[in-house]
This record gives sequence, C-alpha cells and structure tokens, in this order.
Amino acid sequence: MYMTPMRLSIFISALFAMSLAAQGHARPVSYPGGWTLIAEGNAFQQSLLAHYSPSAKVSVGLRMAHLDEPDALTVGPQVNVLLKRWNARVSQGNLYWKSGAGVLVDGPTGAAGFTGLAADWETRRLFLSYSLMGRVQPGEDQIVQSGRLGWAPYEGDFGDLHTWVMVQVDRRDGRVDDWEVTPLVRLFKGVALAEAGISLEGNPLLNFTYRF
Amino acid sequence: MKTMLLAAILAAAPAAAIAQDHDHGDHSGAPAPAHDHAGESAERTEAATADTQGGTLIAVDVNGLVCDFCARALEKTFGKHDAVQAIDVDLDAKIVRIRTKPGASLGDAEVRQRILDAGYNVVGIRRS
Repeated sequence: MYMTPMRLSIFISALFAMSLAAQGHARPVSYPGGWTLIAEGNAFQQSLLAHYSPSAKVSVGLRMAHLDEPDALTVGPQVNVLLKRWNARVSQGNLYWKSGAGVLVDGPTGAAGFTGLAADWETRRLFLSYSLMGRVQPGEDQIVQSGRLGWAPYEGDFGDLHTWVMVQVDRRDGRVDDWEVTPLVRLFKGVALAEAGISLEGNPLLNFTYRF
Repeated sequence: MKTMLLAAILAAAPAAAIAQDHDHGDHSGAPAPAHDHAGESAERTEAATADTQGGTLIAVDVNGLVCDFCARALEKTFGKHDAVQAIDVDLDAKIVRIRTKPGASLGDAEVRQRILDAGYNVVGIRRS
C-alpha cells in the first residue's frame, strides 16, 4: 500500500506513541494473568510499556522509550516487582521496584537502562505517589524523581467514571537540572485510564493505560 | 516531534475506550461476571445477592479495596471459577459478594487464598 509522506509521518508517529513508556504513576503490576498497555508522554520522556503479570507481585514486559539526549529510540525488557503492599480498610499502599534495559535502535548505538523504586498510597479520595529512578544512557546519566498528589471530587462506584484532579512534580538531575510542575486530570473507567495536563512550563502531558 | 507523539497518544485513547465498551469479559466459555458494562453496579449487586438464583451467597470483607482496578481484579479472579454464578464488588462497604452455582462448592480457604493471591486481604467471610 502506498503511503504519502504525511500518512507515513502520522503512521510513524502513532507507532512511536505506541512505544512510549512508563516510570509513571499507573500501577506497574496487574492482577494475575492480566495484560497492561501503558503509554506516557511528558516533558522528560515518552514511552510505551506492554507487560504481563503472571502474579499480583510481578510483571514482565517490553518497553520502548524515546531518549532526548541523545535523540534516540530504545527498546528492551522491563521487570516490575511489588515489594510490599499495605492493605488497610480504607487505603492501600504499595512499594515497587522497577528495572529496564534496552538497546538503541534509532540514532547512536549503545545501551540504556534504568532502575529504581516507586511508592504510592491511595484512598478513594486521595492519592500520593513518588518514584526515584536512575537512568543510564549514552551521553548522560540521570536521576529522575517524580511525585504526585491527587484528589477525587467524588467517590464513584465500581464501573462508574472516576475523576481525579492531580498535580505532578518531576525533577531530572543530569547535565541540566530540570523541574516540571504539571496539573492534570485523570479519568478512569473500567479498564481504561487516561490522563491529560499541561505543565506550568507549557509542556503537555498525556498518559494512557489499558488493561485486558 | 513530542507534540506529534502526544497527539498520537490522545488519538489512540478513544479507540481503546471504544474497544472497552465492547469488552464482555472472558470469552473462554467460563461464567462471566454478571456485567462488565459501567454504571450497572446496582444490577451487578442484585445478580450476586438475589436469593432466587440458588447457590450460596458468600460475603467477604476485604481490606485494600480502594479503586475500580481492585474490584476488577477480584471480578476476574472469581469470574472464571466454575463454582461461581455471579460476583459483585462493593467499594463502599469493602465487601465482595460471591453467588455460587446451585450445588457447587467454594470453601472459605479457597476464597481467602484467591483474594490473597490477587493482592488483597480477607477480614471475614459470611455465608447465607
């Protein structure tokens, strides 16, 4: 099938978007036997993670991510492990270990990887999360921190549309230290979760999670 | 470039949402959860609790139920079980209601273990 340059550009962009990934704030481990697709894009990273959870404590998947320094695409495996869960009557807390490795498939050659911890705590009305990741990649190693505070204006029943108002703060320590503060809205219904926001610096944030 | 990528993500989201609307759960032939469609929690509760269906109603108090994802995890866990006729997860009351098929058996130990394996904790189990 012939594709015009415009269509080819859109197609490549869609593929790239499908390859965006996830140190973010969606749960990195699903229920036993569950598959998850997580696409994330913000000022610091664009990535896609498709993972499978053989149990409620681990997920393994394939991650594709865009590196901005150098400008390259990396592909490789990712493993997420639920280290500890705290189940209480009205809240749940989680501590995860996440690691991924990849090779550069577009741009300069080399390898890239990351490892770190992520924690979250939530009730039906409040959400808190924090992650600390070390990223190794050609040209620049980075420490990336991300925190989030969220509030739900109402408690939806199972199957309803759930709405959250959140603020995400990202910090990247590398050659250049960057801060990013992003107000956003999370919409969660059934097996689909979408988030959209614009940072105070004007950078868009779009995340999407689908479980099946 | 980033803008194009983000736009592509945004474009993909509605398609997935449409796909979700047509997700009727497990297609393996196993008994599916009473309903997968959103906004029908009352019907789902009724299906799990109605005493006209026979079987045993098992009400399980569970810790850690804070979101739809938790509810769906438990729905998946029990929806495929041969002994289960219907299941409802009540996020307000933190209760999982399981209606077994007439004559089918589902012991407390198995209920407790399945919920634990799904990542949640059982506080108590009642049967009626």
